[in-house]
Amino acid sequence: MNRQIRRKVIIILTPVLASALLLAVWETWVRVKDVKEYLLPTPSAVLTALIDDPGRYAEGARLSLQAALGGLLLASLGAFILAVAMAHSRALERALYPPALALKVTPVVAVAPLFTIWFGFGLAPKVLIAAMITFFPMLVNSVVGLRSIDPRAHDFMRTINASPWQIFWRLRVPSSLPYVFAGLRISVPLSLIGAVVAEFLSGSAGMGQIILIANGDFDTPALFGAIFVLAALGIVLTSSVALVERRVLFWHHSSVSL
Amino acid sequence: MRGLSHRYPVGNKTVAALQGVNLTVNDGEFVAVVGPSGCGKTTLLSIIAGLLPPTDGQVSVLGGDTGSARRSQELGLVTQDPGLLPWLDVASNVRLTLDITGHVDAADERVNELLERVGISHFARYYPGQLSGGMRQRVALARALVHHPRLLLMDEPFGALDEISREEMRFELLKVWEQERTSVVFVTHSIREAVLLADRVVVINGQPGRVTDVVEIDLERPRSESMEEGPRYQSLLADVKGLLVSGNDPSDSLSAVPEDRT
Repeated sequence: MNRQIRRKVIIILTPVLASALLLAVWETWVRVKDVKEYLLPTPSAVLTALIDDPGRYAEGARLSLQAALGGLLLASLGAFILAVAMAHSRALERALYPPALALKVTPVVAVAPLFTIWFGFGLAPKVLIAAMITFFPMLVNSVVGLRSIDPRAHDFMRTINASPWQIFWRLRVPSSLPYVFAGLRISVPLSLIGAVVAEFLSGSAGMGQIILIANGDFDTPALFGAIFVLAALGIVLTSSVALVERRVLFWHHSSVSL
Repeated sequence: MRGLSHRYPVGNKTVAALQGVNLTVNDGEFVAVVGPSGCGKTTLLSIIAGLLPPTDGQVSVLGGDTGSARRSQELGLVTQDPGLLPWLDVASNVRLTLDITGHVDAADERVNELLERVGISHFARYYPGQLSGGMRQRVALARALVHHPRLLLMDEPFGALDEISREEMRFELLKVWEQERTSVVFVTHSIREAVLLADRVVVINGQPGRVTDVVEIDLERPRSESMEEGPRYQSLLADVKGLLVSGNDPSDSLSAVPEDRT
């Protein structure tokens, strides 16, 4: 028991210590070499920038997170519904795949200004851009997942005359979950990128705007502060997905660790 | 079934998997089907299950046409890889059959009874991934019998097990079968298994597969391990062995026959 606790402490402590070490090296190097702050601020200067105006970063993070998660939710639901149709019919898959691919390969920055013209500067264009960037990985994974049923389980269910509806809910949907989660792991960081890019291009409030303003002011510590906040958001989101995945997919061999 | 044939399209040709198969299974009877791999045994089972429409001939299962037994939910199926649902525990896997077939009255009692019968009641809360191959086949057996099917279809159910579990499962199956009293069609390529378990052994030979012989197994029931040493068992074994065409060259058969799905 004691040994288990010690192992857990070590598992948590190792990355924390490594990060602390990295920051210490950074801090020392900037101080010793006397690097200009607008080029590379010390971690302590970044921390000061964050502490000076925490409300601003918190609000920015809230807005970007809202857009990212909104977009991810929209894309996941839309992609899954479309995937059900595509998994059901090869003809439909052939018909819908090219436009889905076109949506994926079109650079999101090229479309973003259009979304701003159509939907203004509020939440809507940000959500749509985050959705656009996450839609394709969710779609592809959902289609593959819905097709990945065990043929033996399918045979058994057909032998006892399960209805298509029962086969869908009791076999197809659970079978697709490992793939859906794989899609989510790819899409979560992408959704954050989508939200920030949208804020960049439209100038609407959020982490993207904070970066834009800090950049214009040559306020590099604030810029780094924003980067740190975004990195933290990304880590929290990814870990949350991994945590939920481990709960939901306990039965699956690929079940990931954090 | 009378004059049953089945052909598969392979490319622009058709390959016959079964030809002119006649087979009758009586109520409560245990029929084993033996034959070399690639002779269409699995195809035969799929046709009986109503999963595959035959190209020719008539199949009457439990007094109806081929799909009707499936539609009236009077079939059970156990395959070599049983395809249990890995996200459901043992009890829920067995219960699923009752949910789907609509036998929801006293479902939990029936599930427990079956788990007891196949000897895995202590593992009701385990997940398939935590069980050995033999245990998983017990779950598959419980799942296939829980809704009182009139016909149990088994496709090499013990084919992937080690010899010790195999032996154990054969007698376990007989024990359960004697309690549940359903007709069984048991496909295997083990002659020993066929003779030990069945009332009749149907021998399929050739490519496409035809029923070449039917051997009545007049060993008394319940069967026991000691019978395997007896002269009657040995002579029946030799009979069936002799009826299987030796030197069935697999190279002139077609690997495209879905028999090889296993």
